[in-house]
Amino acid sequence: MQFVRPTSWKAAVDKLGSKTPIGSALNSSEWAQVPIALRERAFFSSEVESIRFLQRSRDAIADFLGSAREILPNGNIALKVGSRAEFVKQMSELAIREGMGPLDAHDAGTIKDVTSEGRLGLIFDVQNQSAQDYTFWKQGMDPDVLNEFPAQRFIREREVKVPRPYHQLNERRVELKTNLEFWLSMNQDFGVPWGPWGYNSGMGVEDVDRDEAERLGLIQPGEKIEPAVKEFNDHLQASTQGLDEDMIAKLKESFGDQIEIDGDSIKWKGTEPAHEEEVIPTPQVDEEPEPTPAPLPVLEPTTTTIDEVLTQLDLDSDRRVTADDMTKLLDELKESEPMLESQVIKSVAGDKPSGIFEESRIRESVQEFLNFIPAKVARKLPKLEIKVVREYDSYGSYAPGGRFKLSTLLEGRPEKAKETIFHELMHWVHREGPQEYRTAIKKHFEERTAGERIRRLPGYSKGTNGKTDKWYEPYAGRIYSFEVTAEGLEIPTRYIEWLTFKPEEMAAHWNDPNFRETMKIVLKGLF
Amino acid sequence: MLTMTCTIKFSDGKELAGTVIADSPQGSYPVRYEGETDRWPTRIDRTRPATLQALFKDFAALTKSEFNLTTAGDYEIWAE
Repeated sequence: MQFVRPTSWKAAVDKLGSKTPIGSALNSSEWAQVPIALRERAFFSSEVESIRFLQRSRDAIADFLGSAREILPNGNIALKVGSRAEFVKQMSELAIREGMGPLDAHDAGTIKDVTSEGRLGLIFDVQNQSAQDYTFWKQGMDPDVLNEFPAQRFIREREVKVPRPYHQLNERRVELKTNLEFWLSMNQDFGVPWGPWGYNSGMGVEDVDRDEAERLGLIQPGEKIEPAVKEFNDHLQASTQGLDEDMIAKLKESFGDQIEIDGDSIKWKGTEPAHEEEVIPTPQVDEEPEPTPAPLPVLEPTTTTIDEVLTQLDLDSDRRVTADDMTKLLDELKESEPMLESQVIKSVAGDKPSGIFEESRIRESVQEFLNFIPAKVARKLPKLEIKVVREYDSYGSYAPGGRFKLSTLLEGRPEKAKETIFHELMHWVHREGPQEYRTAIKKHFEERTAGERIRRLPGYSKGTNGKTDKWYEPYAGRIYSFEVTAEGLEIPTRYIEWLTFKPEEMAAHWNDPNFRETMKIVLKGLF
Repeated sequence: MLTMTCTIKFSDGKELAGTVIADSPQGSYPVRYEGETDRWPTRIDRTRPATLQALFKDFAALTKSEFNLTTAGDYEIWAE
């Protein structure tokens, strides 16, 4: 039985494409008063009246979604490097041509300025995350998936300056996915039971399996729950019914001939009435295949391969190796002309970097990592923005576009700091680098874990799930709740930490055939 | 905290055990050895749980001994 049936990204693209561009002078709080069934079917942006601009934005994002997306640790959709920037550039140029600058010159360059990077980036991020989270929600409503993972945990994925109190109160709360009342109450900005959970909310969800849901008393053993798709559609329908005259007058005034109102039938012009249609398509068992992602950069041919190096050092056999063998391997793995840290680091910032977190120390560790990475691979990766934060639930985390965080808890712990920096930088190489490497890791993960059940990883807290296989460390098998299909995202990261071990420790791991098999594949990313 | 104890039972029935207590899979922690410590070939006195396991397994394979593993508890923090 396949517990997690991949949901086609076509659904996300279709959903975005089905939205009608609606131009209006309404600001965000005024939009919030528009019935949710209409908002859900509109592609709009606060105080933007240009249909042409909105249509181009919607189409551009749909194109990107359909062709060049990747999945990020924080639950966003990661578009290929440059895609977001390209969107911002194109739409900024269009907005300027359309004369859409801010009315008040003091707003130039701020979030109120639709020609600004900040505003356009927000449009892009919200629409992309909405499409991804909708797809995840839709997948979660599949009866088989719902049976296996009936609940989800509301989690903070990143810190924000002003967290919403009702989010803070419910952090790490677990509820059935079908508890619409709760999930809608957590999304007061957008009024849907999926993310984003508000502008810059920093919140996300992760799946909770049946065992845990039963322990929490949310579901009884053997009990099956019904998907909440129809219930949510009913909720949408209700939002356009029985509107008072004032609201109808306001809708007419705000949207003019973009809206058609005939009794309880309210729709955007040229579309089907929102309340007569299933806004959320019922999950299909046999969906169209996923669109093929646009090709990412491919490794150029190299003069030496990992296999050649291992053969040369007599490491490609069952021979027991020693610390000396590992020292020689480390020497061979180092690049003769690596990129310099100054060439790949855009910024190091955050909470008073000092001690082990002095900027120079961080740069040293980055350089140590870069010494193993071919310059031609590192050159194509996004520039690094490193931030030291007071974060107490993880030592480090990676976000798209080369942004990673290090916890101040690493202060005075150089060994942990180095392992963490290697770990996060390997996310950078794996997730932003050559597609063929990513494919190889995914294939290895699938082959090694075929038939294994997803479960809580031993030694890790609730919600840290995956497939333990025979990885040298269980976390290598982690599967994130946002993954449509498991990719083995923590294989390269956990295994690359091995390069920071003492040679004698490295040898003990290398002598394990299971470790060796995976490590050889991971090392291919260094060639 | 995660506590991991690796044990090797040699062919003569004698045992060697190593224990680490770690708050994270990252970093190294003191190893407490017990039993046949004279037979232990390494001088590693600090390591991480996953590596302690690898060292003991490797030595067990070398000496054709029996390997045993027990763990209790969870890590508290790690690199994501």
